[in-house]
Amino acid sequence: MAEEVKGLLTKKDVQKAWFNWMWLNLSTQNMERMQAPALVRSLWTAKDKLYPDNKEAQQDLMNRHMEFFNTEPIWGGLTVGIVLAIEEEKAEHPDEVPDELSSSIKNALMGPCAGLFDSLFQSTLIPIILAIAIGISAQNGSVAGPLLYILLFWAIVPTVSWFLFWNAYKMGAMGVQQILATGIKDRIISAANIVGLTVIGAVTASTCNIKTGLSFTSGELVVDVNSILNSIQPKVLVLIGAFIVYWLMSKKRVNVIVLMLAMLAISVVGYFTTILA
Amino acid sequence: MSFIQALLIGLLGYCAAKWAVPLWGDMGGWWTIGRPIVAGMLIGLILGDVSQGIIFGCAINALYLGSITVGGVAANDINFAAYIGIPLAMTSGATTEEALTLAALLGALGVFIWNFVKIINVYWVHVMDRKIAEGKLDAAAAVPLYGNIFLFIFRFTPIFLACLLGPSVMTKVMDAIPPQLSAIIGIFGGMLPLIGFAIILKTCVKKNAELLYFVLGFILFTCFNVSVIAILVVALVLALIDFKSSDVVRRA
Repeated sequence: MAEEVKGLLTKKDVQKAWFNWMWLNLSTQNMERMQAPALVRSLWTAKDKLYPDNKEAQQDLMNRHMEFFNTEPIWGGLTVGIVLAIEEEKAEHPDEVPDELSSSIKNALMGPCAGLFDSLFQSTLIPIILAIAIGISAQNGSVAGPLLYILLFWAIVPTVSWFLFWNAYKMGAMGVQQILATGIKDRIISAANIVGLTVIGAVTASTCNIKTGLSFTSGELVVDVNSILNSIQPKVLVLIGAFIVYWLMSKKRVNVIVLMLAMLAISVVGYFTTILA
Repeated sequence: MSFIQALLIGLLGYCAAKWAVPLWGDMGGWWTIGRPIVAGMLIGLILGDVSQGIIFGCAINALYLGSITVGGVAANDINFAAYIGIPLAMTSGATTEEALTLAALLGALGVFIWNFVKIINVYWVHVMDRKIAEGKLDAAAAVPLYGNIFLFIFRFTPIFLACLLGPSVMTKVMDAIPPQLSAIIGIFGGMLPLIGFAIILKTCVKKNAELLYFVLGFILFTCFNVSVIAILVVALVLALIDFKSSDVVRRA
């Protein structure tokens, strides 16, 4: 009982929100608003504690969070914990906590959390425990490999997930007043951005591959364009590609589907002209 | 394989797909039975040869060891690669190399299903909007539960049919596909994740100058061959410096 934070929600309520988030976070993943439906459902689990008998406020709560939301769901789901804490503060002190606070913190953290936890969880932890499991079973097909993976996964991942969610919630609950008072919010967000951006840069470099198949022959000399480019900067085509795609999506607001089709077309043309390989 | 076996593999394949609901979402699904090594164990159990299933599973999993999804975008679809690739390889007596080729192709084709479901799922968002506006809050909260039906249709059906119709149909399909296709799909898969990363960048970047940090991370990885964990530490240090200096600026 010492773990319970003084407020409208009990630890069980937070657990329920976490459980529902973990269960349905991607169930209706969609192009337009990504994980928003799941976030709203997660908040819905607490609606009767936050606004008992106040249908209008409950409606407003759910409606406000139907906006675009996307982050790494398993550990980055701590963002949902923070949103829950802010909404609890708001329910307790409706005049002090503006509508925009939970929205702006959510929007600020979802990107960095995605970058951070996609690299920690997807790119680091999972490949490590998989590699161990595969190493055990690749030759003889023994069940030890898969079973070990399952054991390690379930020992580590949900535990860390709940730990992050619960502590983010507690911090959010205690932190909201301080955040509002000292303007520390922007500084934290700025710092979080740095982490997220740097890590995403690294993960982009490790995940993507764009090579050119062009080469020039001059008599006996064969010049491979790719190696020249790589000596200037390794994977420079990926870097350029990243900026082009980012610019198209943010400044020119190009639709994702259009981009994918364009990439497909470029892949086809690129292959047959050996510009891409 | 028998109807029941194909049915079971189809159902498991659905549960194992990313975004599926039944096994506590991605936790029991994508991250547990969705891993080819575990899928191999289960499919092997259904088809009566556990170790062979695991051997194929290991090979396919090794192929996709570094595969991640970012911003809802994946470069390859491990679900089809495992849940169609492994059963077909097992029932056609393929070698591990043949299983890998089949899996790679399925992994590429599955990406189109991935994106297709992501598009049609937008329907559920509007259903939910409407229900909230009408005050039917509990009904709105139920949408993420049954909205998974679209994923079910486009995961279960291809897997079930492919398993039922068997290797003979698949070999005809495979032969009909020109070899250039895998090269093209490889190129496509190399650049597709950029969209996912751009989606996240959009949510991170507040001022254009911050993109410099993105370049930094990129350069650290490519030029200095630093691991992602090490880059994370560097990023944390930079963030700490920024956090401290912003306080100095504020007080000045």
